[in-house]
Amino acid sequence: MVIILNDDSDVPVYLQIRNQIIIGISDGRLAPGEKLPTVRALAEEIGINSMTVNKAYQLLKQEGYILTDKRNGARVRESFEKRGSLSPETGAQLQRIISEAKISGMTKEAFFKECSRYFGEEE
Amino acid sequence: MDIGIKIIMMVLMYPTVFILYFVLKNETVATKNLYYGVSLTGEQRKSLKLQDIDAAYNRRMRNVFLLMLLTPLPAFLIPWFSIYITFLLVWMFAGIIGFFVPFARANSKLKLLKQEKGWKAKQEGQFAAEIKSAGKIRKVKFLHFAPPCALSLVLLIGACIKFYGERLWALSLCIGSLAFVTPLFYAVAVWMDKMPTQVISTDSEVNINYARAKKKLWKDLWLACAWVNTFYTAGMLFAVSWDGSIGRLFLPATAAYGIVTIALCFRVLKKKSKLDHSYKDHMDAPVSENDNNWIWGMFYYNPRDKHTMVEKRWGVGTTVNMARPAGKATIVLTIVTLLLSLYACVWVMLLEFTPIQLSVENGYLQAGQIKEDYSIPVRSIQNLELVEELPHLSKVNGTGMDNLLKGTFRVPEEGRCEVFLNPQNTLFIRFEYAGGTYYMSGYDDTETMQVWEACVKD
Repeated sequence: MVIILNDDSDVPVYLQIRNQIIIGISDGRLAPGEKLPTVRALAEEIGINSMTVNKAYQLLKQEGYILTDKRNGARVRESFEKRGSLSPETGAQLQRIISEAKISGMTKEAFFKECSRYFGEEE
Repeated sequence: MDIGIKIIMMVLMYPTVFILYFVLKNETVATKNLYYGVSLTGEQRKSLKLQDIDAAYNRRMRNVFLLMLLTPLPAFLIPWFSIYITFLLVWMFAGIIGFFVPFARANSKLKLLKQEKGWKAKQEGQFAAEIKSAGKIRKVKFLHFAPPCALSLVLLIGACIKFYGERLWALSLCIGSLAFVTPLFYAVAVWMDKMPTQVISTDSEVNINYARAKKKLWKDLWLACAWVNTFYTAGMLFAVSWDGSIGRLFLPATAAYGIVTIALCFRVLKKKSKLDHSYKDHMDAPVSENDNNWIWGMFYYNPRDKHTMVEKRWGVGTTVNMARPAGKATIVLTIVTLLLSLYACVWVMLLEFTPIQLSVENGYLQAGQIKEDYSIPVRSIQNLELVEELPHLSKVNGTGMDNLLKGTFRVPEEGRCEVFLNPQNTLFIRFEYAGGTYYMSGYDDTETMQVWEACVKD
């Protein structure tokens, strides 16, 4: 799975890794139960500090996307909690994104169309 | 200076011109969205008028190539070893710089054009990484490198044991250094094997297969180099054991070593080019646009990137991140090597053009060139004789030039002896002192004769 990171972004690198892994899980590029690279291997591959990758993995574990143990390393969870709603933090982020879209003059239809694209429902 | 030596030295250095020219001239063909080391998409490339840059680049490259091709030819007429070797070194360094100047100019021009179009900031700082293969693709295994490394170790031990008894420290050091290069090849192979997977496609399978094929190419190259170096070391050790000197076989063996290594490099270049061609249709990944981290498109400097080695933006292979400690060490090492090469050239010139001096002063036979080399009490000299013909001398360590033989040499029936003479003379003195044999001469026969008479008188 290819992840795209940006050195110049305001978003910290550990959050970028976390976001990319969540996108990978949602679009199926990372299968349920799939083994993730070790912290050290991923840090070496990307060319960043091991602590940054560790922070991303800890966050993903905390949010329930991956499982980690000392023997087997990190794995994508086999199943996820189907809350059927967004977490309060993600909800706040979505509100910010919708606000930005509204300010930029984007229509509700265009916004939903864009959302559908990311849901994988529309070309 | 022997024409054979000149040809061998030329054969060792001449291929540099062809390698650099043929590797760099392909830069006009865009690969992986890179053009003269600048990231450009297909659309961007089409909208720019690149014909002018290409034409200027091709013209400059052709001029440098012709200049580099023709300039060494008159050097065959240079009779002095030191001037010839200095000329070759300067020619090679000038060629390396000369070939990169057109590339650097094209790179700067293209960066400027990109800036003018406002394309620069869009994806600045962005880079891609393949996480599925992280730490998994490894082609170098110790078992593959163990036989040449073990053989080199045996050769090193053999050389130490053999030369320890004969006190030939310089030869021991020389063979030891050669043997040491084999494990060094292994270390480089391991280092390169740890390179991150290059993202050429959005499809992970493509990236992984491409990385596997590429790492196998490099592993095969380093393994072949390790074997070639082991055979070269064994050959040198055999030659030294045969007649006790490294001189006779050194240049032809080194020339053969150089030719084989260059042939191996060409093979890898060809295979890599074939590999890139077969993956050409799959190369759809966005290229990292960090053009500012590439000085002239050649030197990578990125303090935020923890990778020590990265894929080059031109030619084939890898380059070091100059912001990392290993990169800084590489810069220092390159500068030191350059300065040492220049120092060596000046030293060789001094040796060749400073006349040797032999005299008897205050009861001591003094021999010196640049500094005092020998000071021997005349009364302790035994079996002094004047010889008109030198025996066959094989250099063990020291200097051997058309007008200077200085250092420790081996004479077939006498063994090791100390030599300080001008072989172009016709008169030499031979004597024994403190258990050793000495062959000496003055700058010319007159000086030798004067010293001979003074010694006899004493």
